[in-house]
Amino acid sequence: MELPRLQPLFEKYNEQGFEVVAIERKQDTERAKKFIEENGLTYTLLENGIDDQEIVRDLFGIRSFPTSFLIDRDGKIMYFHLGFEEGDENEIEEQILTLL
Amino acid sequence: MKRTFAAITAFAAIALVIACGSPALPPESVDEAYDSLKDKFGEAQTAEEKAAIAEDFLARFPNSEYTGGVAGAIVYYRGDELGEPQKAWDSVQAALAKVEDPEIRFETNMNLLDLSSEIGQPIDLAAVAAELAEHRDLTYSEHSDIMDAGINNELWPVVEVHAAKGLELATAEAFLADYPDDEYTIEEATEKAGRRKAMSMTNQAWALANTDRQEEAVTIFETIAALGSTNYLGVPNTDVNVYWGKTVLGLGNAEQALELLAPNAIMGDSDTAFAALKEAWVAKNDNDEGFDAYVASTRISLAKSIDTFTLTDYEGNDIDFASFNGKVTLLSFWFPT
Repeated sequence: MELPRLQPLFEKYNEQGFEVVAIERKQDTERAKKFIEENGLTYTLLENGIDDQEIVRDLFGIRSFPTSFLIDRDGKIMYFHLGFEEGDENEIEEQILTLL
Repeated sequence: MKRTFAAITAFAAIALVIACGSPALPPESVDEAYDSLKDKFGEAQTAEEKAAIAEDFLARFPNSEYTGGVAGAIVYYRGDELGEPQKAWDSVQAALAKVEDPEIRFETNMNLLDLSSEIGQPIDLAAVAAELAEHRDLTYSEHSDIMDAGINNELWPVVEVHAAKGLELATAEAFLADYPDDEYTIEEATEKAGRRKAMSMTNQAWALANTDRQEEAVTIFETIAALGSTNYLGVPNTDVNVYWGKTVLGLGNAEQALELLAPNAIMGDSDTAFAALKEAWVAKNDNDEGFDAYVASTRISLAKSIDTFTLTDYEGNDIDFASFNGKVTLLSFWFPT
């Protein structure tokens, strides 16, 4: 799981108005809480809903994971990323800078 | 005389046993050797060690159910990581020469495909596929892998043959038959069948486009687009627009190519589409001036507004996503591994 990779970006740009929201498709509350604590994650992590609160598959139609949207201050989805390979952080960082 | 001779022989036999140590153990079975390989692999630190373990196994046991997988390890560690593709090729080919089972041959040859392109030793993919097909019907998955390999290696007749097979298997019934233990609904199976159809037709059309039948290809692309779906961002779910765009670009229609390629290129994280988009721009304008500005303005026009939703965080708080308005937000969807 590469969620910890998002933490440095969050810390670097949060003060300038950058937020990270991570949503896990499957529900496993205890394991997730443990993971957050062990990795010192301070950004927003949300639990996917069930039935009509299910948003990952039903609202956003996400089929491959991880999938990321980079959203501007007006709520427009400006960049899309499939996967999160080593080095992708650099590309995303450049994109964040164009939107801040 | 006899007794002395017997005594000398007995003495010699004992001496021989003492010299050689304990009597020889029965030889290791292939399953034991494979278990041992897995253990050694787990302990190995370097690519060189892992390659050597795999090569040693394959040299001793060239013909077993493990051949394909171990060959794959050799291709990866010796071929990729250590950058010795010819050596990897040679050791796997030596083993393959001793394999007659078409299932093992198929698996091993499929693992060799990328390597074969790299060293310029083409594998007769049509023959490899046919060899297995004589034995049993291939699965959709296998046809799909062969189509992909055919496209990567520009073996258009192979792509056409297997695209036709893929189309035959593009039914809900065929899908359900492939996954008897999973519990798919008819709706889900129908949707999956639709994707198989779109993928097979896309590959078929791309093969046509590459063998001077571009007009036929375009007709098929138009059909696929009609039954196609787009994702949340409005980007087509398959690569059909990418192939279509490249085909019309080949026919000299740069304007249409730009239109077809833009969503996948700009909102689809596709390097291939992006490269083709740039090519289309240059074809239209004779140079790449203005391309970056075009991408930026097209990005703005394609950008969708995020829907709002409310979910709970791990501290029990309800978080309304609308509260992130005014921020730059990275929204990331994950699947726990």
